[in-house]
Amino acid sequence: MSSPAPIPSDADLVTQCLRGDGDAFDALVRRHYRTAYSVALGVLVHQHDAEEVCQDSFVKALERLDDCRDRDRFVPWLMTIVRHRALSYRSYRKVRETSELLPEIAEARDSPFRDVAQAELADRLTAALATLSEVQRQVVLMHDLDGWSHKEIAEELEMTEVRSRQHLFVARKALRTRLGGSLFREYTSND
Amino acid sequence: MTDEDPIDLSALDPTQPPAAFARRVANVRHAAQGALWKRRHAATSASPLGLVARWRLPLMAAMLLVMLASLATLRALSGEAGTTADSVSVGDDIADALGVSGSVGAALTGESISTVALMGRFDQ
Repeated sequence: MSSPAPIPSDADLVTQCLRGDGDAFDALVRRHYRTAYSVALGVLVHQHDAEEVCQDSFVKALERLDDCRDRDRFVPWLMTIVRHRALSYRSYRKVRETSELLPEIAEARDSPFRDVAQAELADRLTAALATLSEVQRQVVLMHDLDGWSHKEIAEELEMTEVRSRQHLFVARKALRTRLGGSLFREYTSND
Repeated sequence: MTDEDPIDLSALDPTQPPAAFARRVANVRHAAQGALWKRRHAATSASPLGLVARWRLPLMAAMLLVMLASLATLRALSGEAGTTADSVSVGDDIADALGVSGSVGAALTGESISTVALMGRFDQ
């Protein structure tokens, strides 16, 4: 019985991407899209903008891949690109008022979410996230959406782990207050 | 419910549903086509075969020039050699010594001559 093929590391995929391997590029995108999206959404709040920045960041990363000297640390390198591009995008589009971030029907219709209820929930979450500070938003998205540890968040956002925990605590409390109990379900042992 | 419990943000998960995520990945791939092509092209050019492929036309042009120059040189040299051979032909010396024509002398020294011409010369 043959053992399954080993999962290529980021460094392997980066090496293949350097030679123009589209499948390796796809694999990197699939593997890190959610992480990039979490970072972009943390900065931009707006889902559509975050998607646009994600796409743009992956393409820029491919173009500048020779600059990624430590291929094992591709993710932090990519996240730096995502953050910079998100900040540039935000400057370009101007900071929106929170009220402008509330969902629009057209966007909900266009968004590729499962159904209307899911789209509505996503929009309410987005609106609630918009009320947080940027760092709180980033911490809660990285931790609760993408599963980063406090150690990883602290390293990425250049803060202490304790500070990361504090931001998460405050962010969750604010989101619960804003959303109320009906809009989210908790993770339980049965989940 | 405490603030230690994670908030379910799965409604914001861009990898769900899978079909929508596949479209997103396809969009990124489409946007990256140019960069991928450049990388493939650069990688191909760096290989020995790619190097040959890249320099194919200039190499062919250079080879054509070398061939033309060689042909011209060979033609000039062969013309010059023919003149020199005529002027110092050993066959003529032998013919003089034997009292026969130059054609016979040339035949004796191995210089090419037609059989008909040779027979004609001996008849003389």
